[in-house]
Amino acid sequence: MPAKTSRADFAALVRRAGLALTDAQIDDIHANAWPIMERLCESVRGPADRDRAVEPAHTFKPEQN
Amino acid sequence: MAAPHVTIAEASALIAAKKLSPVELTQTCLDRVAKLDPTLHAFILHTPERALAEARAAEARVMQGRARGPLDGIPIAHKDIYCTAGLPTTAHSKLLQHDVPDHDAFTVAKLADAGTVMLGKLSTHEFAMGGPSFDLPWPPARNPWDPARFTSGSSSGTGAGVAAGLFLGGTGSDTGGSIRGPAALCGIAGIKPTYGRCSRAGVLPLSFTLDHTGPLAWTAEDCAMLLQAMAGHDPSDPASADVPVPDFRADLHKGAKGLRIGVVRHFHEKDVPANPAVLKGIEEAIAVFRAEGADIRDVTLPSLEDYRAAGFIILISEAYAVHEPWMKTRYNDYGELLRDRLALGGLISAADYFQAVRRRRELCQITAAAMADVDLLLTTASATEAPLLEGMPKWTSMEKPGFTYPFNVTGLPAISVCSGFGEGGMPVSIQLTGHPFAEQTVVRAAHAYETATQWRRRRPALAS
Repeated sequence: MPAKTSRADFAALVRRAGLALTDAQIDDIHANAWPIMERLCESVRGPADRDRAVEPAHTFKPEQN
Repeated sequence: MAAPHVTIAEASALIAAKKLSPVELTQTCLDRVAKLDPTLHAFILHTPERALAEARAAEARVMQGRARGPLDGIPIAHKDIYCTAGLPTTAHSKLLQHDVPDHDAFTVAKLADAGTVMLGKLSTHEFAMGGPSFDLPWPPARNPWDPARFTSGSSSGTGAGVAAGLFLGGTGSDTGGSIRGPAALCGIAGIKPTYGRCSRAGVLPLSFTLDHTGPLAWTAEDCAMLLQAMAGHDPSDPASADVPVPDFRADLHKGAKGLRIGVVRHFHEKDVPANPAVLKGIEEAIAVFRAEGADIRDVTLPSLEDYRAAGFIILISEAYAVHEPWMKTRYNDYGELLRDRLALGGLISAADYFQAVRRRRELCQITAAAMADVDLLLTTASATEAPLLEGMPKWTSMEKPGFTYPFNVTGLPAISVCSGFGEGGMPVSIQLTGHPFAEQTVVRAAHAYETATQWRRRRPALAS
């Protein structure tokens, strides 16, 4: 399955990250790995009924820092 | 003269009885290294003179009745992300090719204090993630059961070296399966202890909240012996748990009787269907445990993909944070596999990282609830036997979720042990997982299984 992000938008993401990738490197990652990353990211955004107050697995504890 | 192959437990007993010389044992291992490592590439750095000096010191202690304990005189080696004072620690990377730390990792120091003899530093996937790669300063390790095949990673040199008998045990690290994967494909034992059980201080980081340190060895009992030395609170590691360290071998004599084992069938039958030999190994293990008096039942967890999604997003984000300065300035000094995977971590949003961390808590809670009525979970550590090393597709590791991620995400202790042999005579594995800090139960069950089966009697033909 192709990436939902266009090639141009993906290249912009790469530039914003400050990475100096060649066109061939961008093509490869965009075509072969980014679709998987998009799927994984969509997966962790749910479930749809997740309470907005659900805490992350690591929380800030002042006494431990 | 040393036996052709001995376990740590056997060697320890023989050394204590003054029937085995640590110097002779070390020399046997060094001879094997000289013969086999040009094929296996388990080592990045050999330290034979240092090893023999340490072995002579151990032998003197034993002969004078001052032995430091059961690991005194036992030859081991360290994955090359464990810092060793005065010796290069390269992470198998051009970026650290000439880096020499001035300190030992906490666990390296603890193993040295226990009297172990260090034979050198071991191959890894680059920075414990990028491999198998052929564009690094050193070649990847090869599998002793068939050198044309993959060891898995990232503790690849440890897996290959233990399986070939180059040393009796070694260190590994496990962020998504890097101890249990090589243990599975190389037909040995490897335990990822509970997150916080062993210090990460002085071990080059991959992902702060997923990294675990632990041992690999021929048997579960040997893993328990190494873990005994590695475990313990370290104030210099913020994640180190200040909890008592039990005698991990104390329950080995109890067998599996009375243990409640939950089989996570959907992992290996539905989520990622395993190869026939892997499935056969699991079913035979269930029969062994049942015959030993364990109570077997099925357990349902979230899917492997669910754990992988949270785990991989956390891993790649945290790893990118570690490597960001070099990724921006020395991108092409990394091997292709690592740099192009790491790049993904610079492209996902902070919100998605935090959604993954929120999902992680949910997965931990669901897993704990599912394990409420069992002592252990049973599945495999790998769906397949070792594939051929050359020609592996670049993104193959991302195509399917692994069986090891769930227990990095949840931080639970998990061991992989050999459960037979499949295609081409290559090993297959079972994986046993316990409750937090219940490593004692994990190694008890694994030892009971190994004792009841024949798999520990077979060594790679190359090493026979």
